Parts: sequence; C-alpha cells; structure tokens
Amino acid sequence: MAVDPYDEKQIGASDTIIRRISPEQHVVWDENRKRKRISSKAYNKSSGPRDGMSVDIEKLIVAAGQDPRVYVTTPRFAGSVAMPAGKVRELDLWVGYDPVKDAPNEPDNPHHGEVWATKPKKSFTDAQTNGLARLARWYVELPDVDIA
Amino acid sequence: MPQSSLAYQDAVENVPPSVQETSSRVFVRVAQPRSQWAADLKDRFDELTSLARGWDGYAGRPVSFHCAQFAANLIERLFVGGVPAPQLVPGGDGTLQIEWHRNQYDVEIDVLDTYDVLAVRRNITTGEVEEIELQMDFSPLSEWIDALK
Repeated sequence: MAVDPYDEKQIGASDTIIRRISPEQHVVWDENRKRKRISSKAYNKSSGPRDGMSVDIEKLIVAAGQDPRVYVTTPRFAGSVAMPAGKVRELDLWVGYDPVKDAPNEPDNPHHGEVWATKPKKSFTDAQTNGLARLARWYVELPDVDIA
Repeated sequence: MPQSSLAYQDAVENVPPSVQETSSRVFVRVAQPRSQWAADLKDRFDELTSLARGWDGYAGRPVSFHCAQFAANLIERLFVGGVPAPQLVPGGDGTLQIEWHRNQYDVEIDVLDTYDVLAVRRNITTGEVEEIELQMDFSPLSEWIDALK
C-alpha cells in the first residue's frame, strides 16, 4: 500500500473500476449451485488494517490512450469484472488512486487504485464482499464461470 | 517429541528461510497427517506457496509459509470422513481461504495469519449468515464441517 485510505473525489459515481480475476486461483467449484464461480476471496481486501483491494481505474487507462481490455490482461492474462464506483461507495467503502511506480518486484501501474474500508479492519464484511460480487459485471469474461 | 512427516514436501520458492529449512527448500509439514484431505491437498499447498509474484495481475505474493502451515494443521484438525477436501483460494497478500460449497452451505475460513482466522457460513436456503473471528478456540468450525456431510 503506497497511500493512506481516502475517497478520491475525481473518481465519479459512474466511473468504472476493474478488478482482475485469476482464472487459475480465484475460481472455485460450487457444488450447491453446480457451477464454477468466482470465490469471495477475490472480492476482499488485503489483511493489513489499512490495506485495500487492488483495482484498475478505467478512465485513467482510456485517458492515456490505451485499450483497457488489453491493459488489464497484460502482462499476465486475467479475467476481470467491473463495477461503478458510486455503487461501491454505497457499501461503505472508499475508492482512490494508488499508482504503482518503481515498487520492488511489481510492474509500474499508473492506473492502479484501491478499494478501502472506511475504518481500519482486517477484512471487508460478508455484506461488503457479497455486495461487490452482486455489483460485478464481466469486463474480460472467463468462459463457463459465474461471477458469484 | 511428536513425529512429523512431509505432508507437502516439494520445493517452495519465494518463502523466507525460516522454521523448516533444508538447503534452499522450505516445507509445509503436518504433524502425523492422517486424513485424506492432507493427501488430496498436498499438491495444492505446494502450488500456492510457489505462486509467482504478481500472480493476480497486481502485486500478489505466494501464500506465506506461516499461513499455509497453519491452514494445513487446521484442515487436519477439522477432518471429517465423508466430506470432500476443501478448496483453497489465495489472497494477494499471502493469506489463504479454505472453502466448501455443499449441502446447502457456503463455509469460508479465511486464514489471515497464525491463529488469526475469520470464518463465514451462509445457509443458501434460509439466507442466514454467521460470521466469527477465531484466534484460539476453533471448535465452532467442527460443527460447521459436520453439517456438510
């Protein structure tokens, strides 16, 4: 985490945030529903009290003249889901910029952002992770995998 | 002295040299593994503790030795015959979630560190949700696992 949690006013309610989904690691088999789906772990924050959940900010990628769907599948292919920032905030979460530059063992990502809890905590609540899953729509779809 | 055996015994990259080290290899060990779950999950633990940096498209780290070791021991303690082995899902911060989705329940046990666990059970029929934080007494989880039979 490079910045303290905050809510970025320049990220508007209708702006899209993108969460990458690893096809190898984030997908589970759900025997109740008889289908593959994204694990709730993919919609949770890192465990440090002030850590967040990594996302990409679509409008920053577009403003830089890049194709967001290419951007979020590079350098490692990942599926991804998108959600509107305003709806994320309604879950008592903040959305902000957290650009990555010159970090050890991590490629630069000037369009990187975070979703944070508004109070220090180890994890999002179940209502928040479920809320994020309900908001999510495919951005780069993983075939035969349900969002939640 | 309790006997230990190599439950998950291949080389683990990216794990700081620590408790159990032989040359450059670090192993996740379970004392006296007895369950089918330990056998079923051996390769998965090895995979998770060897994940490449950035595996999640961001700064994802491999599952930490401490989380993997603790999760392996917790799984061994929770073993119930007739219930399939859980699925294991990594977090980008080196944590690990143990989960089952069967018998009308979602059970998710998020291992954040040694003796630092958040667990959720959802009854998908009634919509009831239970969330508990566990640090020393993990016995409530046994009842949850029994209900998965």
